[in-house]
Amino acid sequence: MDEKITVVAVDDSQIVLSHLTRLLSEMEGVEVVGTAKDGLEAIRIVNEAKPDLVLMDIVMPGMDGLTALRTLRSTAPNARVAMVSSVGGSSTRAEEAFRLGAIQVIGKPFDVAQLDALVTSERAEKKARISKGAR
Amino acid sequence: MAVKFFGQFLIEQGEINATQLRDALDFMEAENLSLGLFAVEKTWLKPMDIHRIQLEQRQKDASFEEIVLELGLLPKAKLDALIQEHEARRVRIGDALVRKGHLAAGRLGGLLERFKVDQEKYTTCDIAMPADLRAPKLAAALVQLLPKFTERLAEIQLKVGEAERANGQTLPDYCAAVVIHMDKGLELLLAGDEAFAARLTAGMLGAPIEDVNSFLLDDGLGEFLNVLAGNAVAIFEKQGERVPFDPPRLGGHSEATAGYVFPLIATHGKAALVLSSIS
Repeated sequence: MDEKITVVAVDDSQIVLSHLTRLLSEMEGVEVVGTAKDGLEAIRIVNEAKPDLVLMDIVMPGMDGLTALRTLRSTAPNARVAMVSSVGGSSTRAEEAFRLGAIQVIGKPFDVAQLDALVTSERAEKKARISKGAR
Repeated sequence: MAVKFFGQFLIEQGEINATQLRDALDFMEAENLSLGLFAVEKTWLKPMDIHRIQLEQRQKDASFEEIVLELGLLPKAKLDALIQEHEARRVRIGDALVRKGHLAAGRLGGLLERFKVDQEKYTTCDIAMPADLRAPKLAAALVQLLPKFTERLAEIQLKVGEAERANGQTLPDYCAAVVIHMDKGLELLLAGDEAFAARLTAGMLGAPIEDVNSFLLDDGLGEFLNVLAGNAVAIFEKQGERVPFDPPRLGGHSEATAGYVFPLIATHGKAALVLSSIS
């Protein structure tokens, strides 16, 4: 599979954001095209960069991830957003994220295999989308 | 009197020295398998099953046993047998000291009894929350979950000491705080020294400790508090209550000025938990 996907990573924690960016950059077929520290910044960057995938934390100061997801549904309806949750035990927020259109909710600490599976399926999804468009 | 592990107690009592304790700990580590690896050794579970269980455990407050049953990996009777065999095979610190020749076998029983009496009041489940602390049930849940999560995420074993009213006690260098909005509000502050904060951060990231940026240790503690608060809150959300909490606030506390300080005795570094009511 040679299709590359572009990703925007969003997390208020600097240490988590740099770790996530590093993990993604080390994965085959992934290009991190932007990062953001809160929901508002994420909306701006996603609208500019138009990434294939957004990985966004749920609990953030200012605009949280769920509010940003709600906004992205109208400003960037094609953006595929996976939410990142450190509140593993709280199914309420995960349920809400899925209700708002998240394609997945992945937990912290990050499991590399889980991230890898997400990226692989998004690359396949992009490839299918492109070949469908070409027909 | 303070919270301590049996090995610490034995050193204090002059029964062993630190070198002997380290020797016995190394022996234990080499001898003891986790329950998961024990199950794999017995071919009752596959390594892939263990990976699935660990993934689940990182995301919710459920024990190995609960997840094994939930995923249907073993029937209850077989799981019980596994636990029993694992328990019977486990080498404890006292046994390790005896087997390494650092403690006379005949003294072990009596010392364990004395240790039990010494530590009775520090058993986590028995810790009563101070009467004037709001959201006492939430506070108790946080105190009970804290050692479970430090152990699971960073293999830091922790004991929670008796609460003392905050009166300017010096806190370790790194800290983060989260406010949980239940019964007006409860602030949860975790402070740790570099050894504690770096190990916890590395555990949170699933990264080697040498990769952890020492300028971002407050941030690492904040991420840990996110997980802890989220899991404590989940207990109440399961009962239908909506309990929001704020993102972590990093740094800014060199001493405890409000609420209650719970001293933490950790296998790695120094740490303290401060719980205070927010009006």
